[in-house]
Amino acid sequence: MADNTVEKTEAVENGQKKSFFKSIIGAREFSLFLIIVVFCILLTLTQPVFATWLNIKTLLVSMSTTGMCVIAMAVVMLTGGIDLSVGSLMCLTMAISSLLFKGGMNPWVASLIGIVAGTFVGWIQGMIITKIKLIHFIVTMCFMGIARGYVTYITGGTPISLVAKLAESPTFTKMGQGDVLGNIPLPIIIFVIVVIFADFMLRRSAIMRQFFYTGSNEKAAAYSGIKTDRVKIAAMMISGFFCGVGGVIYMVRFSGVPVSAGSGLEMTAIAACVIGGVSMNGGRGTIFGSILGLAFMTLITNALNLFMVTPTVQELVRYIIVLVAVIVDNVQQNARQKKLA
Amino acid sequence: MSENVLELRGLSKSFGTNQVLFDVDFSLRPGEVHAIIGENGAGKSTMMNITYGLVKPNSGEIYVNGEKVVINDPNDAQRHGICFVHQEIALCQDMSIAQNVFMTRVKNMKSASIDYKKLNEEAQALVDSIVPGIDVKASVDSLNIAGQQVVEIAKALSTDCKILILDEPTSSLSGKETEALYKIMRDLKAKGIGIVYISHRLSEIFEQCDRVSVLRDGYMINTYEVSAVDAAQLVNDMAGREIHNIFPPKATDVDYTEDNVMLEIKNFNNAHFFKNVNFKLYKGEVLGFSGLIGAGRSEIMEAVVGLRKTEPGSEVIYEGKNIISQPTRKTYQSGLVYLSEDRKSTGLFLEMGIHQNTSSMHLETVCDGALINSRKEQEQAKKFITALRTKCASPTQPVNSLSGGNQQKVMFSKLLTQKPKIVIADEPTRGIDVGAKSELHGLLRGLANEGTGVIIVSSELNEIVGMCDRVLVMYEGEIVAEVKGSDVDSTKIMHYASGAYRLEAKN
Repeated sequence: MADNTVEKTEAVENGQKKSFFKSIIGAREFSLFLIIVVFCILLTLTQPVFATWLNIKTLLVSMSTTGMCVIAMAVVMLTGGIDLSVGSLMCLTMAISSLLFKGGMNPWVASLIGIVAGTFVGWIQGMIITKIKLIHFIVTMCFMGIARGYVTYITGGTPISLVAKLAESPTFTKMGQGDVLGNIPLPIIIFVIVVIFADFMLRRSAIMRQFFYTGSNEKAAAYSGIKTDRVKIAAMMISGFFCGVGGVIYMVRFSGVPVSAGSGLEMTAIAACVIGGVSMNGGRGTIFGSILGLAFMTLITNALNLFMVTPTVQELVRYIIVLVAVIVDNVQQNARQKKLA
Repeated sequence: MSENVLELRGLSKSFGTNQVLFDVDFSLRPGEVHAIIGENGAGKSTMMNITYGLVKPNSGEIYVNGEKVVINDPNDAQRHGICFVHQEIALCQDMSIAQNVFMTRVKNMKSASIDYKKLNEEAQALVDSIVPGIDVKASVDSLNIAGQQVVEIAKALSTDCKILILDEPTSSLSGKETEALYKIMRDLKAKGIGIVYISHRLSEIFEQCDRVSVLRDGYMINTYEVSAVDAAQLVNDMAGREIHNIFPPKATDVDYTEDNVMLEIKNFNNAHFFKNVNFKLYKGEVLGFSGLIGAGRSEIMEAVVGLRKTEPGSEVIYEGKNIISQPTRKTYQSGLVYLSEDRKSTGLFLEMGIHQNTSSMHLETVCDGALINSRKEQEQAKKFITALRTKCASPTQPVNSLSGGNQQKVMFSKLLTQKPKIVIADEPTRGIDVGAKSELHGLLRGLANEGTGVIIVSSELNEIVGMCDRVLVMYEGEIVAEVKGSDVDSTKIMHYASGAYRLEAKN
């Protein structure tokens, strides 16, 4: 008995001294990262077009708007919920911003109002989820339709073009269309900064840690003194905020708003999060992982395009690959759990 | 050979490099209750999980009625008449009790439609035979833990059961319910069913069991006829060391004057759970709350820390202020902390690390400003792992890979990361082994000696009697008695907790 304790205590010491390098290799994201690297190498070897800056740039720019919704989704999923309204909400914020912009408002102010509107809709959803105690799925599904429907209503179903307006505000336009450091589009830079910041905050901030506690075991979180309702509302607001940011960048990048912008995005976001290791039950996952998940999804789409797979079968192939990826990951996780137990 | 209904020979099992069972033999005769005791992590559950087909052994053989059998999954086990009532409740919460009781049978049913009338009648008869008065048409989540345990047992009995494995069946039952369970066990024995009884309560073994086997660190240490062994011997075998004083010495000189009151509860009312509750906690004492499950003890404590609502007029006086409407977080930060009763559902973040669980109640203790310092967080976890002798491989290990006793230690570390002024410990040692139990008792007494107010809510009479300087007994939501000092004994407490005093008053 006594010997046993000593032994275990030593094990604790050793566990502590696990090297930084080892902890990176051990991280869940690492295997996904490796897969992506291998995937990229294979693509480069078979499709030389892939490795051109033009192609990479296009992929990264598309990721930089979609990625905002993935962050939004990840934050809500961590608290044990799901947010089906991310795509529609992105479209709603950009519609609001661009209409205000078109109506003569300063574009920065218009964008800010759009983002605030997104955050506000997040708050409303959060309030309904916590105070009326409806589940995320139902509430966000309704708001998916409500937001999309409202956009159709205020735009009359026709796309909004901002080409003329954007020409008048070059500084603002630069945010979505400008390049820095020679040839890197600014949205990519903004996106990278946002990802690093969000990932850091989720790992380290005491407030964000409460999201994990709430997602992992809501009751235990409440018994530990965490205001779980507030956490869930905050998550929905953060989600709305990031949808808003994504919407504004999208708006500038594409000089306007197609009414269908961001439709189906919620599914891409959920898939990206799940591939990236965010638990559907909440309490587990990282922003970095879910963005890698998005990169994986984006690469598949790109590969299908490069290999000229007809669009009619693309979705079929894409989601079969997603399913396989999730299954493989799950098997790996179970093996790891067994090792621990 | 065939005199044994179940025989395990040479079972060994390792998880990775960690061997948890070493060449274990075990036998069970028909109509006997054979207890398996041992500390958490001794291998009891693994042994029974192998028998039930949940875990595959590395080597070893299983014989049922003298015939060698291969058990690959619980279906095989059930076919051989082996039933397992787990310690943890595993029921479909939204479905009716009857549907749960006959889950196994419904699964195996050939006809397409279920005769619910018949199902309900049979389930009612079965449940009534255990504890009368439960409506089987109600959904499982309307029952408390004890009630759910009854459903678990009824579920096991609904199949053709020859070998019944009970894993700590009484850990969440109160006295009356435990008695009912003993009666069922005696009935089953009379029918020739062999019962494997896993328990931590030595008293139960002497009352209810025929033989007892002791496991320690994966080895079968000894098997005795219960009539030929005493408690000291069993404790010795289990721990591998002598435990002389199971409970730490009590306080000798508690100052019961107004100046020494740390916490006062006044006019506490809640429409469903308790009425007119008033009590004071004095510095240096361990105050016990005894009573049957459902008497309202936990609910009061939850209300004290703001986790449950009370009627207007209820007061909690702490440090000179009424904190009744204060948010829980603030109460915790001010040093009044609550250890919740059920570690799995309301205590721990199971898939998160020990370190993240330890820090969860007082996150600010590991923060630099608004950011968590993960080095500090792991240091903190390590500190408590060492202090409470938590058995684990690393401070970042997920808590669901720990045994019950070690999980409970993580629960305690949560409370202790900031030095508490008052600790309310609800079922502080439920379902954990003797060694961990006495360590946690020592810890609680140590806190009291240092001037921390300690309240223990417990369904284990032994624990209440052994630990508490003063005991408040609850019956149906009211405090019905106070016993103090040398008057604290189990008969007296039981007299009030069981409601027996009311019968006397009537006569």
